[in-house]
Amino acid sequence: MMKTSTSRTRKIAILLACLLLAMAAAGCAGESSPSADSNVPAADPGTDNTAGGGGTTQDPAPATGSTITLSGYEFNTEPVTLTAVVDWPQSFGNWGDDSVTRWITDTVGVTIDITWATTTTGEELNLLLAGGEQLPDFIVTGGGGATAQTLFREQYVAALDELAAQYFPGFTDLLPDKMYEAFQEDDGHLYRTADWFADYDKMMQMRDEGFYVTDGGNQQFLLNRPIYEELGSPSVNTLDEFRAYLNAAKEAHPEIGYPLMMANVAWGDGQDTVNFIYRLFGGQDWLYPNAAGSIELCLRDPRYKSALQYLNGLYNDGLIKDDNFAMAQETFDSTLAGSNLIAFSGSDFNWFGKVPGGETLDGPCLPIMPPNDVSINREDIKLKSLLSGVGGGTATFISADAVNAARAIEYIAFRYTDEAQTAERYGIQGEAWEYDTDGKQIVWTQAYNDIVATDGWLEMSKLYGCNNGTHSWFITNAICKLESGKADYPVRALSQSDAVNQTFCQNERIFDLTKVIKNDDIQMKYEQLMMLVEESVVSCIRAGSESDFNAAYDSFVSTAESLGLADIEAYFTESYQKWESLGMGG
Amino acid sequence: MKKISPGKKTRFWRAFRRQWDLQLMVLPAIVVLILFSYLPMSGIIIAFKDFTFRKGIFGSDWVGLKHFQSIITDPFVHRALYNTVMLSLLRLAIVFPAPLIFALMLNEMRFPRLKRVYQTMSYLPYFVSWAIVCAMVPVWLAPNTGFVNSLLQFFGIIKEPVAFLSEPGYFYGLTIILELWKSIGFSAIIYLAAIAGIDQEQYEAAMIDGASKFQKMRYITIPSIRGTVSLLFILSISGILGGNFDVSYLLGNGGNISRSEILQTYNYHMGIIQGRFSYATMVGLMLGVVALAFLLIGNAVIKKLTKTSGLF
Amino acid sequence: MMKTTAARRNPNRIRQRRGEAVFEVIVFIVLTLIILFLVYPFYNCLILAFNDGQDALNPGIYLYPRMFSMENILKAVQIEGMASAAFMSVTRTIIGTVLSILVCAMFGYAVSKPGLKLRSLYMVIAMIPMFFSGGMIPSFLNIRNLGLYDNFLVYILPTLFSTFYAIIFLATYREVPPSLEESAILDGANQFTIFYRIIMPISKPTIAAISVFTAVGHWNSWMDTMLYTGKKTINTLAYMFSRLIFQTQYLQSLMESSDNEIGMKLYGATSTSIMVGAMVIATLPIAIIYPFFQKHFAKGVMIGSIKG
Repeated sequence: MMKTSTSRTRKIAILLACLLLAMAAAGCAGESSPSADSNVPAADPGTDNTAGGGGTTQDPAPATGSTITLSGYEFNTEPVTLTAVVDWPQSFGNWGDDSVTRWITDTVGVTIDITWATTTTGEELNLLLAGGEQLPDFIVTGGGGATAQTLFREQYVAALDELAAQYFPGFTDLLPDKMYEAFQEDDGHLYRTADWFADYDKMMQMRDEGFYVTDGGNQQFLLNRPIYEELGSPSVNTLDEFRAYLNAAKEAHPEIGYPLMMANVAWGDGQDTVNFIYRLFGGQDWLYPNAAGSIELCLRDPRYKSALQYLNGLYNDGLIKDDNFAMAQETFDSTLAGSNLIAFSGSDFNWFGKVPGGETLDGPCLPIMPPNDVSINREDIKLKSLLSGVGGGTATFISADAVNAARAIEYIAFRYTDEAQTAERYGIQGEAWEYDTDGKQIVWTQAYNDIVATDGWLEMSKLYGCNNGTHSWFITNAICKLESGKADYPVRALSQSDAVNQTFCQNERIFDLTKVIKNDDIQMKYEQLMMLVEESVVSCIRAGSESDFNAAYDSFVSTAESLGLADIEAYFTESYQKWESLGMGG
Repeated sequence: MKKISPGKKTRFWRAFRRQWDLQLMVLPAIVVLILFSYLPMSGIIIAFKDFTFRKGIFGSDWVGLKHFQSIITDPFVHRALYNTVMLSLLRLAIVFPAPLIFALMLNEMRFPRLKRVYQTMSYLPYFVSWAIVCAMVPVWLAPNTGFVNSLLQFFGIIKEPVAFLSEPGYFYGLTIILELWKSIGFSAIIYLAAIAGIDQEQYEAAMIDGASKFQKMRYITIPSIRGTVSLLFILSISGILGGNFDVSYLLGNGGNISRSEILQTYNYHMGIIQGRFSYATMVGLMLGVVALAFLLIGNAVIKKLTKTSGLF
Repeated sequence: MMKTTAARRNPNRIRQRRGEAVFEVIVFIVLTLIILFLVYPFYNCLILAFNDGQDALNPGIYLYPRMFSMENILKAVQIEGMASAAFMSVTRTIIGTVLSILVCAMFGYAVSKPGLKLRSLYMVIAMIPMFFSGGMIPSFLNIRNLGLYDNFLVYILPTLFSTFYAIIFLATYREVPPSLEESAILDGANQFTIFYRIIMPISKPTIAAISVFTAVGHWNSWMDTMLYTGKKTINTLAYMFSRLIFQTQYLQSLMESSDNEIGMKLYGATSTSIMVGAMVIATLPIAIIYPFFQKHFAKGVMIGSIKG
């Protein structure tokens, strides 16, 4: 016995010794990343922060000589490190690795020390709040999440309009139009900025100037081009024609795994196929104002039922496969990569981006005009667009006792200047892009195209900083669309008819705002409703016969009603009327 | 009138001090328990409050049984409870006996070196975390590309690929199989350790008497580890409302949710993710009470049935 | 010779022997199938780890990597801080396991003695935490208040005691015949000596078993790193790999989101491949060490200090 335990100890000792040697060989073992500990309040608040701490100073701190003028406003250029905590994992490089973050530091002296979360479920941010320590300057979290509500309700964050008035009045002007109204809280203050918020008027103005304006990813029907052309490119303009085509193509190509591949069946998102088809039957959105002006959820709308019935028909034709409702990411990717489908419904670049040659005009994915129900005039189709979407997926807050409040608010304002917006989305002039011959629109440089072609877009972004998540998730704004018609994915505009969408986009904006819930009880009912929707949609689509379908659908509606559908609708109605009165509608 | 004679108390202390070494042995465990289990337990009160970060655990407003009521009246809770209980019963019926049978079989294997190899390999799945397993499962079960469907079709067991993950009906089976896969080696080790501790002389005596393998197993092996088996059984019962969070959470989706939602995932969705910590704590409290009740019942049952001393 | 006598005495014995042989064969086949079932997915992961990520999207990889690539493994290993994380994981596993075994075994032993004063009280104290806990926030605040935040000891101290394992020790020690102790007590030994010299060696199989469980627990534990440290100096391997996996999954989900233009190609490594690479590195070391511990599962060890 003694022998065995000694030999075991010896083994362990040898192991440890080897590891120590390996560590020593690896050099800087144990040295952590050079960034400062973001939980400790900036050790010397005096040195870098021109506004000092506290916040009782009256005038914005006089810059010690150095400012820079962007979009007509003067910005400080003193070096400063701002701290931030972000509620999701890091997925790009570190600050300073790419051209844009370096440009930001060079231009306004700001470096941001970011603490990223490990998971997407928010434990670490919650613990940070519960722990009662000094919070970083910026807090970035999901706009619709519970934590955002907590931040504001429990006064962890500062009112941005007040900070602006005190330190940087330019903020209010640079803020995209209507963002203040859209995101102010009930006390009248603005606490958060939102990403992907479209300044609708500015975009229309740019479009009038000849810029190519489009939104972030169209909901589309795309066809497998080789198969389509092989079958003679038949008309697929109506839902019935589309279904007939799918059946014909399926017969001609039984080896195809997924005749109709849907990106997502969950309710409410931009990629929701059911929602899309509902619109093709004339619906507006999953909530809409009825004739009396009250908000109703679409599930009792006969057109919504028709949409479900249509998909049910496709399912029973064998055009929709069971595992489409629960598809693993890899299966989804590989299906698209191999074009193992006849038609796709979802965000166009989902397919473009995966299949070789996808982004070329005559590539394997053919966008079509969405097939509408014959009773609907094509001009009346209300397609969702991000042009006026309220976005707001990401909320950026400045904490109430931020050490660098003055520079923080100034930084946000800086990010809304045209120069910063351009840099954020397109990178550095000369490196990633150049002006076109007209001197207004942009084209990508050869170097940009080369990197994307060989290493992929992600590597380019890590290098050139375009839409790089290290900096862009703070303030991404959909106002800048400088691309010429030669930009990638020009095919997108196909489904959008300007005259129709102009008015409808503004409706989208008010719908997005109406959907926000701030009441706990309603929130709970709403979540239960969402859970019900998720399964009911699936069971309706999968119903084997008409009676099964009707049973599933009726049960769906009655369960929803018993869950408190009326309360939710009443809440939304109140919200809708408020936004209408603020002029957020179309 | 003095009920407790000073004699009793002194006797107690004297005996206590005589056992100083044993008492010291217990001490580290008790200290750890108090420091890390009991101190934070005071946080359970937030189940009866409307907890907010600012006000903290003791400063938040008292709401009594409000959360309890909203849990009971919640329609989705009933379904989650049903799934949790069904899965636990299946687990007791299948996943619990399996390692025992496996250990017995392994014990009977002829080639000792191979036996060791098998034992090692059976334990391998335990090392893999659920997160990775559940990430791989959709790949393995994918209808057109996963190897499971390919294999089943190859052997003619099914004609068309089956979407195992989208159908509620398959979910119970899937969870049980996954748990078997992961834990059969784990529990078998405990049984094998117990078997290893059996007095060899009994076997030798039995062999002299001409006992067969089966007889040896039946009259020596199984009775000798009866204590271990009942012990593990009792401990498993206390997990009856445990459920497998990882599998339900990671493999649950719109298609199978009517079967995959268990109390833990429901609590996670409604409680933690939404920042409703009071609500989540109340669910945990309720679960704990019921699990404790089951444990006490199970212990009493085992005591009566097997005449062993159970746990208490 | 004895056997032959028995066979002559019992004519059924021959039939029995044949039956046993059949039984053994069946057992062997069944066991082998079970083992294949248990091991194949693991093996599948192993070969996927060494397969190029893009290629792995296409089906058909069953027995060997179709397009060999070290990229997944390399990507996983090249993360900054890997070496110190490895050191941290090993250290915590060894120290944590050894100490844990001691604490649980001592408790189990002491409580196995019916004569222990306050015995039921100790049992109750140990069992209650199995059912009730304060939750994430109270635990976090507690760790902070005890001064264990960002402290190496946060890996060791909170998990020193596990009721489950302690009970297993308790059951083992209950079976130990008191005669073993008696002679030692007569010699004047205290319980510590008895425990160290007699009891622990007897319970070697149990100790080995529980050691493996505890070690694996320590090795794979990442949530405590996430919640209770500042994640700058005392990272563990498990945490680094979990983080890698989450990052990759998050990036993948970005690529799928419709509200931005970032739906583009990834080359080479994909989410599953990286995960599988991380898994292989994270679990291989402990999977290799484990067989060494298996030796101690050998049959019956008895310190023959007492004649039976």
